[in-house]
Amino acid sequence: MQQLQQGDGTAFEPLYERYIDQAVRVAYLITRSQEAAEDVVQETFVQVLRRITTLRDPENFRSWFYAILHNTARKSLRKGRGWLLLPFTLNRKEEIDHVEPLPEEAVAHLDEVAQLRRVLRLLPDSHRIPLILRYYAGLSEAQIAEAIGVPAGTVKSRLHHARQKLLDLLEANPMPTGGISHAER
Amino acid sequence: MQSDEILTAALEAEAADAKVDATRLYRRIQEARVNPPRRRIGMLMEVAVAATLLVFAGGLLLGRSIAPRPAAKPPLVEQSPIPEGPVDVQPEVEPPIEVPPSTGQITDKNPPPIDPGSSAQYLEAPTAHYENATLGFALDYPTLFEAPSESGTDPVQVVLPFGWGDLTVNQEPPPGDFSLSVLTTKAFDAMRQEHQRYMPVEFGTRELNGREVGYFSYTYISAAAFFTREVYLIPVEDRLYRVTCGTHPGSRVPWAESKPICDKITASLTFDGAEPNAEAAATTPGLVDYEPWGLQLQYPQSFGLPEITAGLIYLQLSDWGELTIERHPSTSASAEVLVAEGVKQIEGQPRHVIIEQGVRKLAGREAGYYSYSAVSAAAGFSKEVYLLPVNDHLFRITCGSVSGSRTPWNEAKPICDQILSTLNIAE
Repeated sequence: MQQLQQGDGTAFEPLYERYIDQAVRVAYLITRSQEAAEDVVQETFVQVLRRITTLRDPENFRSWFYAILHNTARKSLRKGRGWLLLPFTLNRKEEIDHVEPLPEEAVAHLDEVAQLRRVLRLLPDSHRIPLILRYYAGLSEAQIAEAIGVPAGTVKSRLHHARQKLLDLLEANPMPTGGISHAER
Repeated sequence: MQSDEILTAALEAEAADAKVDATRLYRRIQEARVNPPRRRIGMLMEVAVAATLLVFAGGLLLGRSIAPRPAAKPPLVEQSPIPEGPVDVQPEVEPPIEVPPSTGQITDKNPPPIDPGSSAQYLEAPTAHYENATLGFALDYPTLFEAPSESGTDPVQVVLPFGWGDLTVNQEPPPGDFSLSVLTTKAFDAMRQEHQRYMPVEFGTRELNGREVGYFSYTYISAAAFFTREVYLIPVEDRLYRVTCGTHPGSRVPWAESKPICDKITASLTFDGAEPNAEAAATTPGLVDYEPWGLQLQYPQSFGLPEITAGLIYLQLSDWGELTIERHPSTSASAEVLVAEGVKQIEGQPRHVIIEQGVRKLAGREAGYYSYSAVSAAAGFSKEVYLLPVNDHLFRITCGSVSGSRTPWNEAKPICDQILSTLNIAE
């Protein structure tokens, strides 16, 4: 990190390799669009390179990085880019017929995962994004606070409400009958 | 369902739909970073023009057989600021010659193809004024050319035919919040995907008639034809114009002859709406009002929205600079001591030079101050740092150019001064 801050461009590559995969996926989760996610990630890394000298404590790079990504993704969402709420089809019977039946426990797990995927999309950004950063990117509550620019207490409360909201949404939007396609995995 | 594992699994399942092409993204990032200053662009263009002329001269000597010469190609690519990418020339497959993105028709009214050295007549010719209400722009063109004409309906484009080439104006989708470098990268990428034989000459942002615009140029060289075209991406309010100028395939007019004509016409372009966003001379100021710190600051809106995270206020100054404000717990050290520490740290870094140091007034208080430059062949920047104690806190305020922008300090400093003169921090 110090090398990069001192203008050593070769130090960028390892950093890029370390973050690119998760960055694209987090951007995709937020924007729900491949194209928008790539734009967001490009802009994020360009900003990282531009602003790296402003990062005082390299220990905070992760939350600093996600702060830039979050700001860029929010701008993208505000402009309506990539906001594609695609129908989530769960009943592809013909595909179910061609796969081996899974153990009951595994099916139940898949069922829960699929239901969650469906209702996650219904959460407002203010609740969805902290969930993505916490449960996908693995950021701590303090890091999320840094990244989205709100106090840590607010993050805690948003995570709590997000989980509660998910439960409410699951109750209000029960799974369509017919089970889940294993292909959804 | 409440378990964290299932929540994580659901997000992982969703994220698995994203495709990660790290190599392509890396190239996009590197291209977007490149922001060569105008002086360098001029130099690159000279090299490119020289290379094109070399190929053209070779072509004249060999009749119609202007084969892509290995000696002519490398200067275009090597001198370009664009890193090696998938712009591979595949000589084994001769692709069809692309029809340029315009009418491309040579009419009787158009002048015959010009000979090398004859562009002067078009530059010196009287000009006519053309206005297009549909697209909201105007330009002046040499009367030797046929008047511009509209083509297409959605999108509409205006073509000014030269006979051997043309200038085309059309409107792109709104630019949104993405920076000019991202938009230019996307347009540049699309051009390269269009044809593998298109070779980039220049890429970056530059100034056109007081506006910051995206710019790239590319050339096509094959045994049958060659041409060079340049593309400007011009943001005007919430619109984005694309202006393309250059030669047609088969015209064999060297870029050195056509470029001055393109320059003359593009220099006359005006657009409906706001005046050019001459950086700090920007319109209504925006306001940062960050209550937790009791801080207020005005900034030119053309610089975009400031970002406020828990420990930092960040304002990007167009593509060339940035201003950051951090708040730390106060220390017992005096302003002089803090400055001495900061200066020592800067002096300890290679190729960093202190410009000034001392104590200055900021927001009605005394603040420690130092400014410095980082000098290197590849990138350089200058910044100033204020260390401003307010009650129990120490504000560290940094303003200046960013690495690679090469913006001279005497141009960046007045803009920093202008913004910081509006800073107010409550007791």
